[in-house]
Amino acid sequence: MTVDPGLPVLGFAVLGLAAGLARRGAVDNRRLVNVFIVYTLVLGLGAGLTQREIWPFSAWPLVAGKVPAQVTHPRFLAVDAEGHEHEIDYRAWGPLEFDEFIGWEEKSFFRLSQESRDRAASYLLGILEGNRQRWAAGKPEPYFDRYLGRFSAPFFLGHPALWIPGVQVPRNPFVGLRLYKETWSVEERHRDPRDVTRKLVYEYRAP
Amino acid sequence: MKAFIGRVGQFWDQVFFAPAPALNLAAARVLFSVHALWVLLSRDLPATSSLPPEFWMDVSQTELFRFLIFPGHPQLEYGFQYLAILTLVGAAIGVMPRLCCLLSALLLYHLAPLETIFWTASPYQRGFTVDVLALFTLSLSPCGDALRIGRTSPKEPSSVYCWPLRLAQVYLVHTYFFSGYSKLYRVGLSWLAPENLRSWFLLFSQQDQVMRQGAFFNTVGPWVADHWLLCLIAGAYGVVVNLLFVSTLFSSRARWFFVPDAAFFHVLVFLALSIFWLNTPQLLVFVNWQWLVDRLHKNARVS
Repeated sequence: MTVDPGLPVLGFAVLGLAAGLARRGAVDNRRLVNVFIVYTLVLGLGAGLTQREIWPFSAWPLVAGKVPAQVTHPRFLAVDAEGHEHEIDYRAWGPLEFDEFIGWEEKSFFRLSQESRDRAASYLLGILEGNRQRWAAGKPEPYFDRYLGRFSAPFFLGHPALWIPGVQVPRNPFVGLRLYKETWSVEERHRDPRDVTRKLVYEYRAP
Repeated sequence: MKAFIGRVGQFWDQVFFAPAPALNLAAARVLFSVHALWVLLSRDLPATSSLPPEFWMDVSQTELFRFLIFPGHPQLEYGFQYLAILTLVGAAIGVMPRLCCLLSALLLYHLAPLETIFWTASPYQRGFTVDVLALFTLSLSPCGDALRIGRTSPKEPSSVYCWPLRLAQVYLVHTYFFSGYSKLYRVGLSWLAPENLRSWFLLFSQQDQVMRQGAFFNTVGPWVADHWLLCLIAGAYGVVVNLLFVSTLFSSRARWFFVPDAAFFHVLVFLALSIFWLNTPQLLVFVNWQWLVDRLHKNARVS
């Protein structure tokens, strides 16, 4: 039997509110507060020790694995009408965040039917081309730094800035999208950075 | 047995119900609300709502219902975001602080998963996890007794200011303790092997799509990877020091070592793996602000 993670979190909220509302002036209802603290500690430990996500109680599995002998990572490239491929700046996926989008690609993209995959690719291509035009005009949409500019919170993982507004942006409109899977061994690539195998696994061309 | 239970009770009271100053709890309120505001203003979470159906294929109805997410209503989500901004500002400056903390926690519980829901229902390293828990817990407490417009701080320390702050610290301790534990649980002791750490350093330096720009970012990682002893130390840090971080809950001496050490660790990880740990500013929750203020006043009087 699996318990929906929402239920223990609901218990946390209910017990917390009970403890908070039972306070009289400057005096806590110690019994209810104790129940809330114990429940919270057990829930936190339960999520962590069993390594199950009960968000916002998390297992925090950070870099908790071994690097396989061969690693494979996806790379999307945009294609223009002349068939030239272009690297895509991570901000050009906005408002999608690159890491989340790649997470979705790894989990769901190839579970879609060919038709659905093409529809998703068409949507992504629309995003990319729209952003390319704005960047080329020197007016990129500031999805992630609209309010705080350079003081915006960085993403968990870093990404290189490949495009410069109005200066370094692919000039030709994007009409297609290619998805490659790149495979390499970390040791071999350390010796020779070019030691990477690239395989085209999906291609979309706008009708 | 009775003596043992008595000692456990004493320890419990010492950890959760020791007299504490109102200022430290209020500082936690400011810290977590400003932190959440910082991350919220640096993302475009509501935009997820407008993703086409293909992105929602693997999202279960249970997950959507749990966070009250109904795809296809970005304007409504932007409304919630603006409301969250208002309540977080209210919590930070102390306008109806308990209510603002509660509303902020509830709104962030709904908004935060939007960042990742289309592939995972657990946005655990995106910045809001500790904030949601801490803001909710603070809303249950007199977190507005200090650092609040139009109110003077109570002079007397009280146990009501202790347990909410300690729980907020517990939430942050989770991030370190379970980060260390998960490596042992999922891989075992071999995670600490220098060869494993070397592979991680090399991998992060080879993924050109996941790399920050700047001279240091692409040199520190491979350099560490080429030094067996540094990889060994990095492995020990990744597990042992993370596990020992739990001691900050019980010992002020431990805090003096492990809190600055954690900040130093994040700088190294930032340079070597390009990973920015969004929770880093939350380490300030371990600072004894009242002690700091008293010391500054004393120094001012002396001079």
